[in-house]
Amino acid sequence: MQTTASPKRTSSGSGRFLREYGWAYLFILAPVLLFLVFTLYPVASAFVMSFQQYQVMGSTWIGLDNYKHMIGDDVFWKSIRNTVIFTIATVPVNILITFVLAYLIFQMKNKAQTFFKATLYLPAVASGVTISVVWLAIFDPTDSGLLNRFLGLLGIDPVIWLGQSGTALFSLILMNWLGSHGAGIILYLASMGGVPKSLYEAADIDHASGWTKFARITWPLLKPTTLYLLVTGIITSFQVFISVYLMTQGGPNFATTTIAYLIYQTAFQFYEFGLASAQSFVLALLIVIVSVLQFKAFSSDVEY
Amino acid sequence: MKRKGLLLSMALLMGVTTACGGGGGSTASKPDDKDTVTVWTYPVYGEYETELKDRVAKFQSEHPNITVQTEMLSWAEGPQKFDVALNAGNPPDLYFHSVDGTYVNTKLALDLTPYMTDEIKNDYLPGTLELGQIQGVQYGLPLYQFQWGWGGNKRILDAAGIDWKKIQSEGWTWSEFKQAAAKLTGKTADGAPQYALVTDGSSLDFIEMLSRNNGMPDVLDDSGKFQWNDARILDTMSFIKGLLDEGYMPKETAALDPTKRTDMFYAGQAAIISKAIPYYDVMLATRNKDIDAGTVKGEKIDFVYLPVPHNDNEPAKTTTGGEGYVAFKQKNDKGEQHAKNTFMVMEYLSNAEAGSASNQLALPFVRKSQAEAYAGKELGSETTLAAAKKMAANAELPVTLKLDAALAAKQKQFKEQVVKPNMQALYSGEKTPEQIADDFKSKGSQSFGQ
Repeated sequence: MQTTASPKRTSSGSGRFLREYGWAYLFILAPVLLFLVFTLYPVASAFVMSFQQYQVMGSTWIGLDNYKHMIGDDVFWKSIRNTVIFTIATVPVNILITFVLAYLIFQMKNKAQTFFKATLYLPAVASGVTISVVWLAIFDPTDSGLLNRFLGLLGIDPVIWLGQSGTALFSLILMNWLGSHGAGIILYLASMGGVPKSLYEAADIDHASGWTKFARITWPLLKPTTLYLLVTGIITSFQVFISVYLMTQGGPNFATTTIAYLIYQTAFQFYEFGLASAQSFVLALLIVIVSVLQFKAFSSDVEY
Repeated sequence: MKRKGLLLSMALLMGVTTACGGGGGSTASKPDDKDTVTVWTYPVYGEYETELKDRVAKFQSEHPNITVQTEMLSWAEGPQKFDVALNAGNPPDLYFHSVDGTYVNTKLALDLTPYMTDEIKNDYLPGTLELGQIQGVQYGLPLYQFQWGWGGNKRILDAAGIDWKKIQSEGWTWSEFKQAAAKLTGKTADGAPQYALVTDGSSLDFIEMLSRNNGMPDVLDDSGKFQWNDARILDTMSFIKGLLDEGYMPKETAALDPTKRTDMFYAGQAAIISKAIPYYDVMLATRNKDIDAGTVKGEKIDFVYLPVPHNDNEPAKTTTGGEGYVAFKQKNDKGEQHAKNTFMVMEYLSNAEAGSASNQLALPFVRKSQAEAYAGKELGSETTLAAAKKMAANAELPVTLKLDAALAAKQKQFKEQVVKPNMQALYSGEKTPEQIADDFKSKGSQSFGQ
């Protein structure tokens, strides 16, 4: 039997260690350096900046003033509210739609599976900008708008989708529901393919119904994928920006101002980089809290 | 050997990664030293990119030690790119824009006073050099003086019997506009609604132009006094609400973006568009030619440049400003000689030949030498040029040229965070003019302490 012993770090041994494993550390060094330069350093700088009034030629330390200003700002709370509504409305529904589509595709033959996988993955390849422009045409507020024409066929009056507080956020949610399922479907299909057929055969012998097989076999074994989609979905929706920036610019009357858009506005329209950094850290903190809670709530019975 | 290879690779990797953080740029200490001046600009008009290249090549042949690096930005992405560069302390030496208090606030805007010779100053026509100043300090050299009016579709105006020539020469009041709007509202030939006026729900220029024509130069006046807190702003809001209620403007205004606004004007669904510059004359003439050639589909439009109507008891005002090159230094200052070289390039790009910008855009010239160079070559129809000249007589300069940078920044924030959402609420019928006026008053009091 062969065993691998770690090389001893004696003076002659360290040379040998470097010769044998140096390349591995070199390869690790590249991403570590990139992480340090492009992630850790900017994050640390932004954290310091959140306690400063940022000025290019010399910032001023102002303690917690940015955080205090943020807490007292109505628009900040509106943006949190909108972000939470957007997240709650999109993530669970998206997972459900993704799951149903994957489940339907899984029943198909190979060629049909490939066709639907490719078709549904297309929006993931298209840029968010392109998709937003298409949806702007769909939500065109005049009678000639695509969605309004469709409503017209049903005898419903045109709706000013993006121009009214009551419908603007819903319009962005609707766009999200109908757009981004490709990656999730691929993940679910891979997981479904990994469920042992023997479990279904055993269930068939026990005369289990279709629902029982789904509830007792399929769903529990897909939980790791569901948890992954839930966590990444929430992180993504907390950072929703492109559609807001391109379609509503946070309006009307802040109805679609999300926290990510507010951070952009604070930094690049008002040049308040310190305040924007403080807002960013609150967003990061929110994401961490929600992610930890999700892992605590859903991961107890997940086996990897 | 293996170890040497490993060390070499590590050194290379370190070199590559650390190179990313290095600051470039050249410095010059004597007039003949080699130097590079960076210029970020926009496609100001159709031929500008080509003309700029020629002008830069000519400059470089006259000053072989100075390299001019130009970058043509897109109107959509350019401002963000510049803002990031500026706030990182590394703006280009020259940037095409209006002067802005926020630039001055960064302490990176270059004070041009030491380089402005009397010859240069005297070449600028009265009132134009000020367009490149903030609180009397010269930071930019205007290339042209823009002016915003409204744009009319001649066919629709004529069909409704609107005497637009009289409006161009004498202006019009809000009451007169409402009478005209009633005649201009109806149906197009294919049965679609035709509105008297179209604006968009996200821009602020509409309310800015109308309030300017109701005695308010801006949210603040040039002494910093809050203006939008009395009956004048309520009147302005009520005027707009009236236009919406009467159906003179689309009920979908809140959701219209600037592109849709233009599309509706082009499609003949709106007789008047709420923001136009004299250049529309040249632009629409080109579009008409393209329609004739079959490369563009649509109805040909003859452009009528119109002043913005004013409240019956207030004087007419034309929204104007200047755009041109603004000079910057960097956080790691490149020295006095570099600043001198930057100004030399700036002056070259704003000289008599550069009057092509005003000429192409059918705008009044800013320099005597430009007016002389392009005398008799003016583009744009006579009527539009005459209307523009008439409107220039009522020019209202931006208050931001006089305000201190901090107050100008507060005004900008007030417009984005208070005015814009309230305008959208007015367009969508979610707030009344009275509620909006109250909101302006209370939020203005918080923002400006008045």
